[in-house]
This record gives sequence, C-alpha cells and structure tokens, in this order.
Amino acid sequence: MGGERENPLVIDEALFLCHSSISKHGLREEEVAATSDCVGTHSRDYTGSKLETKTRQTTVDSEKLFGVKLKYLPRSVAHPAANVTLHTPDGRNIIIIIIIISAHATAPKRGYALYVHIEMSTQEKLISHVMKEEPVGCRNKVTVVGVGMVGMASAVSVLLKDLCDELALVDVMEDKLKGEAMDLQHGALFLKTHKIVADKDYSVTANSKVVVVTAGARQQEGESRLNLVQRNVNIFKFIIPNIVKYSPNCILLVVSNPVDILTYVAWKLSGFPRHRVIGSGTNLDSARFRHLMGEKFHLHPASCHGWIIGEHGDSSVAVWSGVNIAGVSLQNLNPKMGADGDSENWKDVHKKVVDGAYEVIKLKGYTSWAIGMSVADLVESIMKNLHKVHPVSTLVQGMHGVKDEVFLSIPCVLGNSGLTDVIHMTLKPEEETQLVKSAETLWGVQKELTLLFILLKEPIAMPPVIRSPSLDMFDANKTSIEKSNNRSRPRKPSTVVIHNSMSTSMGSSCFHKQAEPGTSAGEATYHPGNFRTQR
Amino acid sequence: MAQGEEERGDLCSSQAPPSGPESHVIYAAAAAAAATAAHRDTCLDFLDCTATTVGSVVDAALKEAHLRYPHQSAMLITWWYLYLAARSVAEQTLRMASVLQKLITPLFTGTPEPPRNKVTVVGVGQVGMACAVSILLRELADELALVDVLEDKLKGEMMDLQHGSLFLKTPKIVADKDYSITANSRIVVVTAGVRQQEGESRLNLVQRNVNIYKRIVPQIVRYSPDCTIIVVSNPVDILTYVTWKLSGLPKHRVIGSGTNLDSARFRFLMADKLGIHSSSFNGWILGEHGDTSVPVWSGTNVAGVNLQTLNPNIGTDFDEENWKETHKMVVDSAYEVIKLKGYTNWAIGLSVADLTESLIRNMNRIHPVSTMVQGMYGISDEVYLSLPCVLNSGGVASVVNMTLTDEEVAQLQASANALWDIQRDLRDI
Repeated sequence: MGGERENPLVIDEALFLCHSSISKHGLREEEVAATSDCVGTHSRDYTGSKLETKTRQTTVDSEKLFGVKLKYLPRSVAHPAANVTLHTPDGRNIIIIIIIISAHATAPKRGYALYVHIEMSTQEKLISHVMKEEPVGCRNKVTVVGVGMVGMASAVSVLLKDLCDELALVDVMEDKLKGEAMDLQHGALFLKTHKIVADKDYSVTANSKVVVVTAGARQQEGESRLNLVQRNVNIFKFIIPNIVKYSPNCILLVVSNPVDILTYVAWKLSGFPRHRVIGSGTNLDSARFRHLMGEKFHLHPASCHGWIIGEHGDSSVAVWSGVNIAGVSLQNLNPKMGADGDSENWKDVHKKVVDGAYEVIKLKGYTSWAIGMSVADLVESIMKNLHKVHPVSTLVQGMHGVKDEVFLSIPCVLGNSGLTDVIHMTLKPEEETQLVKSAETLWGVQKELTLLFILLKEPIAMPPVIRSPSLDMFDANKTSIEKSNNRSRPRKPSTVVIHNSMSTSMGSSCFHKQAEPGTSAGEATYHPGNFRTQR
Repeated sequence: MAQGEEERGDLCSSQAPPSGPESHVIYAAAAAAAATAAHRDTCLDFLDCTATTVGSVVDAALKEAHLRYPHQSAMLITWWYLYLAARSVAEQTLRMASVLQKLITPLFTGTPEPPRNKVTVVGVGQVGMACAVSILLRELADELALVDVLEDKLKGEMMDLQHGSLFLKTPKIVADKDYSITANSRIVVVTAGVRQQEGESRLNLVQRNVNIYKRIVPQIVRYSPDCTIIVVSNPVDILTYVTWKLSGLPKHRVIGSGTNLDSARFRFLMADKLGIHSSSFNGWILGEHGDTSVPVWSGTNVAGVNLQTLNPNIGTDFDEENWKETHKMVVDSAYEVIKLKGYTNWAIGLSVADLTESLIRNMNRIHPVSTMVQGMYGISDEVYLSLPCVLNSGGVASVVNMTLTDEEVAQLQASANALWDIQRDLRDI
C-alpha cells in the first residue's frame, strides 16, 4: 500500500507471531483490523488459526486471532508515530503497541490500540541471523548418479574422505534413493559433509564440481562387460543431458561398464571438451595389480608400482617395462617377465587382475568396495587439484597408433580442471599392437550403437534410423521418408546412412531399431525394450 | 609297492621336458636324483639342470637306482626320493624367486610382529560391511578380520576389500569361516544375526539371535581373550547382556552400540532444524536402543546455552514448538529407512567406527553406549542400558552420572524391567 505506511510488526527479520501469548498475557484487545508485514520463517498452525507468510506480507485473520469479531477497516490506517516497540529486559520478548487510526471517509476517526506480545521461538532466542546477503551455497559439490552398490560405495568413500561440502544422489528408484539419503544423513554427526540431498529430479545436482555416473545395468555372472553396451547407452541418453543442464561446468566421471565405450558416449552426449569427461578406466585394474604385486613381495601396494592400461576389461595391457619397486625395474631383473617362459608366471598375475572382477561377482554377486575407493581416489585428485597421475580412460585417438575415436586408459594428470595432460608411455611394439586391437574392438561396438544422441540436437522430423536397410539408401532422388517407408524389401544387414547434416556411416548393425508397425515414419521412438529384444 | 613301480614307470617313460604344475615335482625329483648322482661322483651339476635334461637325468638316476637296489628296497628308494624332492622343491622355489628376491635383502627374519590394532567384524551382511568399510576408511586398524558362515560371500567381500588395499592403510585383510583368524583382536564387532523386517520390533529377534550368539561368542573369546566386544545386532541391550554372560569377560569390556546411533540421529535432526552442524548441537538419548529410549532434554544445549532454559516446555506435550516430535522421528527413523531401502547400514557403520576410534586411540571420549547399569538409578537387575560412558582402550572406564528428572529415571527403570522380563526367560546362557 502507501509507502509511508509503517509496518507495525516488523522488528527484525527473525520474528514471528506467537498466538498463544496474546491470550496468555491478557493484553487489551480492541477492535482493530490490521494488515501487517510479519516476516516469519515458519507458518504454524496453533489453535486452529494459520498464519500464512507470503513473501513479506501477512494478513492476520483478526477474528481467529483475537477471538473477537472485528470490523474490517481499510488499510490506510496505521499511524507511524503510534507504533512503538519495546523489548523485555532479557531481550527475548517484544511488546508491540499499535495504534491504528481509521481513515475511512465517512466514519469518525477512531483509534485502536493493539498490544501484541511476541514471543520468539527457541531458535530465534538462541540464534540471530546476521548475514544480510544470500548464503554462498556449496563450493565443492559431488553428485553420484545411481544408488546401487557401486554408487553407494563411491558415495561413502567420498564422504569418509571429506572431499565435498555437499553430496547429491540421483536415481530413478525413489524409495531406495530416499532411504539411502536418510541413512547417510543419520551419520552426519560423524561426517564433515553438511548437506546430503537426494531426488529423482536432477535439479538437486545443480552446480556440481564432479558428477560420478554409476547408473546402468551390471554384469551378471559370466557376462562380459561389452554385453551391457546398448542397455547402458539408453540409460545415458536420459542421464547425461540432465546432468549437463544443471552442471554445465562439471567434470564427468563415468564408472558404469563398459566404461571405455560409455565414456565415449558420455562425451558425445554431453558436448563437453575432452578434458572434462573421464572414465574410471583401469585405475581399479592397476590397484588390483599393485595389490597382487604387494602380496608377492610382502610390501604395501603403494610401494609397488605397475601400470595397466588400455581397455578396462579382458584386453587390458600390463606394461611390464614400467613395473618397479623403489625405481628398480623388475623386468631388468627378470627379462622374461610377462612372457610365456616366465618361471615366476607374472602373466598369471595379470590374468588374475582381469579375472578378479568375475571372481568377486561369482562369490558375492557384485563388486563395490574396490571400485568405490578407486572413484574416491580419482575424485580426491580432482577436488584437491593434486595433479596426480592415474590410469584413466581418455580419448587416445592419435596416440600409440590408435586411429579411431575411442577412449582407452592411459596415465593422465588429474586436477581441478579435469584431465589436463596425458603421459606418453614408451610401449613395446606388442603392447601398442594390443592397444590398437582393443581400440578396434571398441570402435566396432561403438559404430553399431544407434548414435542418436547426435540427433538429440536435431529436430526429430529427420528419419533417424533404418527401417529397411536397403540399397535405396544411396539413392539421392528418393526422399528419406520414402526410403524409410519402403518396408517391403526383406531386411538384410547392410551399410546404413543417416541423412542429416552430420551423417555418420554406421557399421552393419544388429542393434538397429526394428520398425514397429504402428509408428509413423521418421518418428524416433527409442524404447529400451526394442533394443533388448535384439539380443 | 605296485604304485611306486607305476610312478617310476611314468617318470621313466617321459621324454618331453615336463611343464605345468607337476613340473616342480619332476624338477625336484630330478634334482634329487641328480643330487644323489652327484653324491656318487657323477658329472651332473644340478645347478645347471635345465628342463630338457631333466627327463634324461631322472631316467638315468632311476635306472641306476633300479639296478643297484632292485625289488623290495625300490619302495624305500621312492620314499627317499620324495624326501629329497620335498627339500629340493623348497630350494628350487627359493632359487627361482631369488632372481627377484635379489631386489630385497631381509634384515629381520624372525616371526613377524603380531598386529597391535586388530579389529574383527563378525557377520558380513550390510551392517557388518558398512562397519568394516568405515573402520578401514578411518584408518583405525592395522589388520581386519572378517568372519561369517556364508563362505562365498565372505570370500567375495574379502577380495573386494583387498582389491582396494592400495587406497587403504590397513595392510592385512583376512577372512575365514574359522575363528582362528580372529586371534589377538583388540576389538571385535559382532553384527551377526537376523535383522528386523519391515514393521517388526527389535525384541522379536531375541531368541533367534541368542542362539546364533551361543555359537559365536565363546569362539571369539577363545582366540582373543583380551578383546573388547562391541555388540551391534538387535535387540542390542539384551544381546549385550547375553554376550557378557556367554563370554565371561568383565563387564567393562562388553559394550553395546546402544543409543550412540540414536543420539547421532537426534543431534542431526535437532541441528538441522537450527541450521547448524550436528557436532555443534549437544543432546543425549539414553536407555534402551529402541522404542523406549529417553531423550534428556535438560542436557540439550548449543554453545553451552541450555535449550530447556530458553523453552521450559521443551520435550513436553505442552511445547508449542513440538520438539518432542524430533525424538519421535529418531525412534521411527530406523523403521522408515527399512521401509524405503530394506535395511539400515551406513549410519550404524559410521557410529561403530566412531566407538572403535575412541577405544583404539584411547581417547577417553564420552559416548552413550550400552553398559551394565545394575546399581544405578535404582535398577537392581542385571541389565544393559545406554548411559554416557567414558571409552578408552580398556573399554568402559567410567560412567557419567547424568542429572535426570524423576520422569526420566522412571522411564529407565521401566525399560530395565521390560528387558529383564525378556532376559529372565532366555535359556542356556
């Protein structure tokens, strides 16, 4: 209302009205209507009346408040001079005297006195908020997407290492998510992370520094990591854009398997520069290798150095020339190391690393603790800007003879900008061949993915994927809709071209989407179910 | 006799260089034969034995033996060779390993020191593993032992933790069904037992868990007679009593995790309402870990400012701000988390690690844990309830006498009676 109208009940931002004290203290109540600005932070329902706070203005329901029927008077009433506030001696209670003068044109001037004794809440008595600005919020926020075993192990490892000041958890299973968040919050006394939030909606992940993506299907017993590809790509198509929307400057750390392919997918889907998309890669394999090495020599793994690079999986490469303890190269002492004639059978050590995951899965159903600790190790290097070297998955195109756009693990320097540098290892020819071979295998799988994320940025009107792979794909005269409508020919695997400005040639696919009879041409309907039926 | 002849026959007929796991035996046999031969002044130098000559060496040596010692003493010779083989396997292994053992010169070759801060976790379910991981990541132990009856799961969990040993400062993680690996533990955390289903009260689990404990506790004490036992399984107060009885340990070395977790939850919820960190809010919940825990409102304070002075009705039904609701949320929180995710583990794991830290590091910190309260607050039965206890490496060093209102004392006594009613009926402990 009028700018000069005094606000009778605003004393201090932390006040709110306590209804009970009015009757309790037997104050004089007179007929009055009051529109008051009461800046309260709580709305409480007491004796049936509710004080609603809308921004800074509150209309007090005087009838309920005073128990007396009152006439409503127009608002231009409060006389500035008549508003007096007094504090009780202990500073904790406030008495306000309001005299409101009616300015109604026809009615005679009447004054109303209202004494309101305001009792502060325990919180307000204890704590006075002195900061006028908005709170700064979080500076070192970590998000974990997926609250399965790996996600929770990563979350707990990050919390126990005091790496973040806020932790956000996201998942699709709401109950499990809420339960996990509550469980972690109950341990807040023992942790140094003040805020742990969780929601299905990605808005809770806003402003994260690092986002750890563990969501996705996991390997069953005996299943290879590559089998999980398509299922996890579909899940990523939903997750990654949401992450990017709320944390456009974050560093993505991909853990879900097959990690090298999914890091590539995350890179493509997010549009991030390559230094901000990291795959957890062979950090864990190297840790397993160093553990086994430590057992062999009765030393702590931290003193045994060995690097496993390449694919995180069956075709990882152990760089024997780099294996050393206190700088003494073990290959110099045992030239046959890693070869078949090796009496110490180091090749078996590497095999145990590769099989390690399968064995743990066979015994307990999944692996969690080791990968959780490995993730926390990487997050630590990033958050604390350590510039430590870790074997993580990054784009290796152009290195070691790899020509394809694939992600493989090589030693990289991690800091708070992300993956800033890579270490160029001196590899033997056979090790380089292995890397190139891994790259080719990965590229073979990547090619077959329906890389529709390219099209996420395009209008859906473009016919995305193949309905009938046939030679008319190459016929420039036919429109794409005609081509995709041509379902009369029998389907056979063949090269397929996507007609859009960023056309990419796709390898022959057993993953291409089968047309559903009812769908219109050019509609992109990607239901995960379609892909599962392909298997 | 016949078997020995067969063996010899096999060895003698092999012409290709032996490989694979049996090669050690062959090499050893060869070494043994060669040693014997060398002893008899033949020209073979067994240090230069290579795979290709082994077959011929074995042939030669055994043929010679057969010629020299036919029929009945052939068996004796086989046994002699086996003895030499065993000795040679040891030498051979050392010789092969010494290529890399050239790297390391041991200075001390006696028996290794026993661990000083060994922690055992009994039960590798969700709670047990959460306790184990919290203890590992807090760097409290120099050895961790895991025990359970499910062998596969146990081995899998041990391997998973071992794979992370690069990131940890606990060099030895062992696991076995047999309790002998728990020997010389300082702290034993017992999480074994059945857990509450949705909606189930903790007291329902009693007899089932008592039976499990009858198997576990004597074994623990047998191998670690000087340990301190932390009991976590529910109902924790009754099971701490049971453990005390079964173990024969003095009462200050059997602790129940008690209301350490309830107090942590309480402090979190209250502090969250006030906008401060949990550690800056002080408040204690005592008594039974469960539905009848007692929040001591007179002790709640922030920076020494007593909340009850600010709000004399705090915690009562007349309180307009309804702080009592917070305590109710604490009691219900376990049930709520169980309803949402099926079990609780992270909070209890962190709570146990907190207790373990006070015990191992001899901190003399005060925690609300379950201890023997007979003789305090007018309780005459042998029951365990949570009171503020000073924990150090000896266990419970002392108990803080909190000033409780009559009502709070009455609540404690009621809990004690309820617990004693159940404990009375337990058999065979």
